[in-house]
Amino acid sequence: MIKKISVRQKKIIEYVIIFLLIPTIIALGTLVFEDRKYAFITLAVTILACIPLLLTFEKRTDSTRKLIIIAVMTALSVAGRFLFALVPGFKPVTAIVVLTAIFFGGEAGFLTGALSAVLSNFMFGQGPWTPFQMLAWGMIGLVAGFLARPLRKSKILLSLYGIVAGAAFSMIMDIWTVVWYDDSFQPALYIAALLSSLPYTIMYAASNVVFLLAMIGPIGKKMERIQTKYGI
Amino acid sequence: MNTFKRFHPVTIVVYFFVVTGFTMFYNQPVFLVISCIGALIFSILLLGRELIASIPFYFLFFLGAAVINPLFNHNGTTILFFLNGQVITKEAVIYGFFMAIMLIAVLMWFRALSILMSSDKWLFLFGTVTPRLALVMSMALRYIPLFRMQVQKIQQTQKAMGAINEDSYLSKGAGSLQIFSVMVTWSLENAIDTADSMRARGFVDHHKKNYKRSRFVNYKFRRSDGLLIFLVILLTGILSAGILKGAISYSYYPTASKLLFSKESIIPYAAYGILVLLPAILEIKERIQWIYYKSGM
Repeated sequence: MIKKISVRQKKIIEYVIIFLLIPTIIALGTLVFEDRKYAFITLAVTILACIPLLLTFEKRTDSTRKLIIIAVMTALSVAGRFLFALVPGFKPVTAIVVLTAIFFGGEAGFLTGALSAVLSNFMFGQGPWTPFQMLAWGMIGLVAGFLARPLRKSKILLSLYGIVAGAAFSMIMDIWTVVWYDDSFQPALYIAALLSSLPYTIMYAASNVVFLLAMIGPIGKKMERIQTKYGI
Repeated sequence: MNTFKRFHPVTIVVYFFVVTGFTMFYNQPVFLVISCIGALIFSILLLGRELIASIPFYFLFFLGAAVINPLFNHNGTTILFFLNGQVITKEAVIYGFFMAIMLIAVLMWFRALSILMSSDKWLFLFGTVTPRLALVMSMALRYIPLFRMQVQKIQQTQKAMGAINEDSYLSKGAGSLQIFSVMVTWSLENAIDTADSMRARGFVDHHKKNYKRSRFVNYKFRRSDGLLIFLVILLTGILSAGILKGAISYSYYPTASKLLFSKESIIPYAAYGILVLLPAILEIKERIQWIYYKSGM
């Protein structure tokens, strides 16, 4: 049964997914869904790209505390959407994902981002866009984890990352909008999609910067304290 | 719409993946219309009057989606007119129309899925593959309402203390941020307590050999589930064969081809129609049965 999969078998599954499944799906998609092959491939590869990182989490042996911290940060980012619901596009999700990544590592950041997307969509509606949100927020967290040191030190870099993350989120989501609608990647349509979401993107990038700058001090201190006090 | 809700989560997900998969990735006009009708009937059975409130949204969405394509896509050979020096083709208008139907159908299907598959059913599915992740998700799901309650408590306390004022938009925002900061402290400490408590009660997080964690499962895979999945696979097979045979192939560009209704094309259409209407058929069957039983009492 599924329960008996060992760590090693999981590693094999991961490699199979990366090196065999993705090319196979691309090939099959081209054959079966002639007209809609790009939409199909885009969605399939996005889902598969999330799987290895989610599986890595499964076989990690770190403490229960870290596990709960991820749950808490995810819940905070979803609940934060309600606390700041007054202003449209003003959401602390990215800021929390980035902070989690900086203090608890890129993997924790990826999971917080990806799970925030899934959980908030339980309330806002699941759809084919869910995997894209998972990947977009997850990657924002993962990259922030790689850049943890410089981001921790420099507030300028941190605000810059907030802007880039806000823009990247819109750009990733609009790729899906365009491919899903037209099954091709028309630059004109993509630019139009980006332009129509521009006010939202600006609001989003601005809120990222505001939240990151406001939170890195007080909340960063609290995270550091938790880290040193409990050794996570 | 209780008949379909009672099925095993696996059955529901398989059904929806097949139906939305065909809707999203196979955009033959007749298929799209069938899927849209199926989604509409399903939504009516599921939502009832609630659906009326969202009709304006669907209508605007449909209009917007249908108009965008001819404005940006200039493929096609039949020129209708020129707009600002850009060609508007008949094919692009047709394509936009059917893509709008596709988008609406997918939105309706996923709305139905959101209602049928509550978060606990998803967690059950994730739990079979990734128990650790499912645990984190279910804990986070429980935390969300808890945090919302706690936020209110903090808000009231801070207000009573005079620590935050709500004179202007800016101070309101600063107040929200302060509340959020207090919230983070509280929840992080709470998290550590929870983790320690879990460990104390024997929660083993490491992957020990031969360590098996049991879990509470509330879903039974019944014979009717097997039957429904078999039916879905059978119908998928029939219509896939029809698609691969080319009996119903259709292309929008360069010139929109004519729809063929031959003896061969009826089979995949009928198969898809039955597939899409399965939940409605089951529901109606159940209701008729109920009336029949009641009359016999």
